[in-house]
Amino acid sequence: MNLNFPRVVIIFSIIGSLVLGWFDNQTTARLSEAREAADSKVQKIVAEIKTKSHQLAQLREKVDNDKIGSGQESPEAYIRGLAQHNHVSLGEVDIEASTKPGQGIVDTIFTIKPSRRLKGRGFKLDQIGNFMYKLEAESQQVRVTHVKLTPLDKVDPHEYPSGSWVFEVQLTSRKRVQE
Amino acid sequence: MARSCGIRIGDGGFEVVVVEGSAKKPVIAKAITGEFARNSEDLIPEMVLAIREAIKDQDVSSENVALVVDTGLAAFRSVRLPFQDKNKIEEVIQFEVENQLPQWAIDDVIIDFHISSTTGVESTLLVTAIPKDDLSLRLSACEKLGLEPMEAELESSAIVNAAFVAGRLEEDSGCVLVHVGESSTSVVIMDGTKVHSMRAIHSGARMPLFKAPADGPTDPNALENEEGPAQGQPEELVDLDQVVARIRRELLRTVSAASTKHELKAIYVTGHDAPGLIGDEILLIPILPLNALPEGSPEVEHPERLTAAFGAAVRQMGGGMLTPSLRRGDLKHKGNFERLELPLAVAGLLLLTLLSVHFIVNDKKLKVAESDMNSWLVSTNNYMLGVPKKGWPGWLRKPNEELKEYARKAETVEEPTHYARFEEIRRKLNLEILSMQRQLGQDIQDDQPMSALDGATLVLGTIAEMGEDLGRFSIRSISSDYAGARNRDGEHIRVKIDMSFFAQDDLVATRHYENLTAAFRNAPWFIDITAKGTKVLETGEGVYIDGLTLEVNPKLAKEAL
Repeated sequence: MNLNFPRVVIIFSIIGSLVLGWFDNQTTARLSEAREAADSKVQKIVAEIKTKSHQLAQLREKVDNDKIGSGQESPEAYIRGLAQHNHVSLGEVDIEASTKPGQGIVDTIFTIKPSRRLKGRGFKLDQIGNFMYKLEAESQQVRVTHVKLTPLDKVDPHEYPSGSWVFEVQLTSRKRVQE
Repeated sequence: MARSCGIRIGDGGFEVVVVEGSAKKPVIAKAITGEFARNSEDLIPEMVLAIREAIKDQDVSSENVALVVDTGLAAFRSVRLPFQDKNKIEEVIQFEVENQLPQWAIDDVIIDFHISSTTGVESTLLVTAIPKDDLSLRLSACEKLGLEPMEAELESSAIVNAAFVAGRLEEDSGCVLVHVGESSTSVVIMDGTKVHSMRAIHSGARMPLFKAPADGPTDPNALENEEGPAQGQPEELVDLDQVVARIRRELLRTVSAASTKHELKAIYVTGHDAPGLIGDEILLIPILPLNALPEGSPEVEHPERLTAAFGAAVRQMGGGMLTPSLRRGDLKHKGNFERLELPLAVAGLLLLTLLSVHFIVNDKKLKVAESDMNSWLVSTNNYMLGVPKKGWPGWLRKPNEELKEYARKAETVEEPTHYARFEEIRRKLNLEILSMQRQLGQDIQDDQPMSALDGATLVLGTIAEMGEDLGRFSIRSISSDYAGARNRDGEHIRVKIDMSFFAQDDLVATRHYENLTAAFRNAPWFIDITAKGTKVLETGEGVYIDGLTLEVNPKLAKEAL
C-alpha cells in the first residue's frame, strides 16, 4: 500500500482517535462519578465519618476507663478494688470463680461474699448497692447475675430489720468461644 | 467470474470489448465497434454520444476498464541507464528523456517505460511519451460514459498482449506486429517474446486529425516516428491504396533496419482494413492477419479492429506480457478510497481535534472536581486527626496508626477515586470501632446476661414509689437471679422477696399488699408473679408473705422508656 500523506493522516487520526477516545471515556466516567459523588454521596459519607470518629473517640475513652476491658486489671483485682472503694468500703471479700459453658459462649462466674474473716459483720444497704452499681458501671464486660441480701440477725415477720445486712453477689463475664 | 473491459478510442473510431473467464482462457462476451465524427472543434461530445449510443443496453461492465489510445499520439525513445532498479529508473527517467523530447515540455507529458533488455549493469529502456492533454481528453470521455479506465496504454502495447495471449509470439523467431489505426499505424518488432522496438507510422485507414508529435533522435534499436502527412491539419481522405503503399514502404524500411537476434518470420497485421497488404510479403516475410481473438467471439463487421481493445481487456485481467501504465502522476487512477482519502484525512483530523478539545475540557473539569473532593478529604482528616503543627486537636486522640497513615496519604495520591478513599477511611474506622467494641465486650452486648441488679432495682423502685398506698412495710430478705434463655419464659430475672405489711389490722395490710401486686402487674417489665398467700402477723397488726416471686424483664422497661 502506497503510504501517501492523506493515508498517513488517516492512520494517525484513527489511532489517535482510538487512544484519545479511550482516555476521554475514562475521564468522562471519572468526571461523572466525581460530580455525582460531590453532589450527594460525599457529604453523606463525610458526615458518617465524623459520626464514627465521635463514636470511636467515646469507645476509646471507655476502653481506657474499663479496667477489665483495657487489660489493666484481672476481674478478681477489679472486684476487690471496688469493694474497697470510698463509697463502698466492704473490706475484704471472698471470690470464687467458676465457668459455665453455653452454646458458643462461656460464662465466667465470680461469686462474691464478705470475707470469712469478717464473719458476723453486717453492711449497710447503700454500701452493698454502691458496690453492685460500681461493678457494672466500671466495666462493660460484667453483669451482676445473682444478688441475695439477708439481715445479719434473724428477724421475725412482725419485726423490722436492724439495718445490718449480709450479701452474696455473683458477677458474670460472658465471652464468645473462639472457634 | 472475472470480467474486464477494453476500450480503444481512435481518431474517429472506437471498439469496446468485454472479456470474461480467465487471463489464460479469455472469452469475449461483448464486442462493439463504431465511428464518430472527426470534428476537431468539439471532439468529446461526438465521441461520448457515439459510444454511449453504441453501448446502450449492452451490459458493458464499468469495472476493470482499460483504455487504448492512438499510438500516433505518442513518441518512442530508447534510453540506456547504468542500473536496473525500477524505482531508481522511475526517479530519473523523466530527466533522461527530457532532452530527447524537445517538442514538449516535460511536465506536459506522461512518461512510461518498458525494460527491453538488461546486461546486469545496464538497462535498455523503450520509453513512451504522450501529452497529458491528449490522454486526459480520452480519459474524461470515458468518465462521462461511466467507464472510468483503471489503466491506459497505446495500441502498440495492446496488440503485443493480444498476440501473446493468442500464442502468436514464439521464443525462437521474431515477428512484426502491425496495427492499422484511423490516422496512424503501430509497428512493433518482436525479437522472440521480447519487444525489440516500437514505432508509429502516421498514416492510417483515415487521415490524422491530431497533431503528430515531432520526433527527436532515437536509438538505432528503436524505430523512429515519422511525421504524418497532415502535420496536425485536417485534410481530405486520401486514397487507401496510397496509404497502404506508404505503410508497405515504411514497413520495408523498418524490417530492413531491424537487428533482431531471431529471424523475422512473419508480419502480423490487425486493425482497420488495409487492402492488398495482407497476403503480400516484404523482404520475403509473409504478411498475415494477426487473428488474435479467441474462438467463439461475437460476430462484428471488422473483427480485426477488436484486437487492441481485446489486448487491453486481457491485460486488465492479469494476462499479457507487457504492463504499460500511462495513468501516472496527475492522471493516476483514483479508486473510491483514493477519492475519499483526502476528505477522510480532514475528517479524521477534525475528529482528533474535537476529541482533544473534549478531553482537555473534561480533564480540566475533572481536576476542579477532584480538587473540591480533596478539600473535603483534607477537612475530614483534620476533623478526625487534627493539625498537630497548628496545635489543633482532632476527635481521635489516639488514632490507629494504619488509619492515620492511610488518611494522610489519601490526600496526595491520585488513585483510587476520592470517593473510594472516603470509603476506605470509613471501612478502617468501622474496623477500629469493632475492635474497641470487642475490647469492651460490646460485640456480644446483646448476648450478655441480663442484670439481676437491674431486676431488683425495678422491683424495689416500684415499692418505693407506692408511698401511702403501701403503708408501712419491711423487707426481710431479697434475692434476684438471672434466669437464662432456656427458661420457659425466655431470658428474665427472678426476684424473690420476704416482706411484712404493717397496719391497724390485717384487712388494711392485705389491701396494701394487693395494691403492691397490682402495681407490679401494671409495670411494663412485669412477666409473672407467684405468691403463696399472706399470713397475719402474731400481733394481728398486719400481714406478711414469704417468697413473693416476681419474674421481670428489664429490657421491656428500657423499651418502655
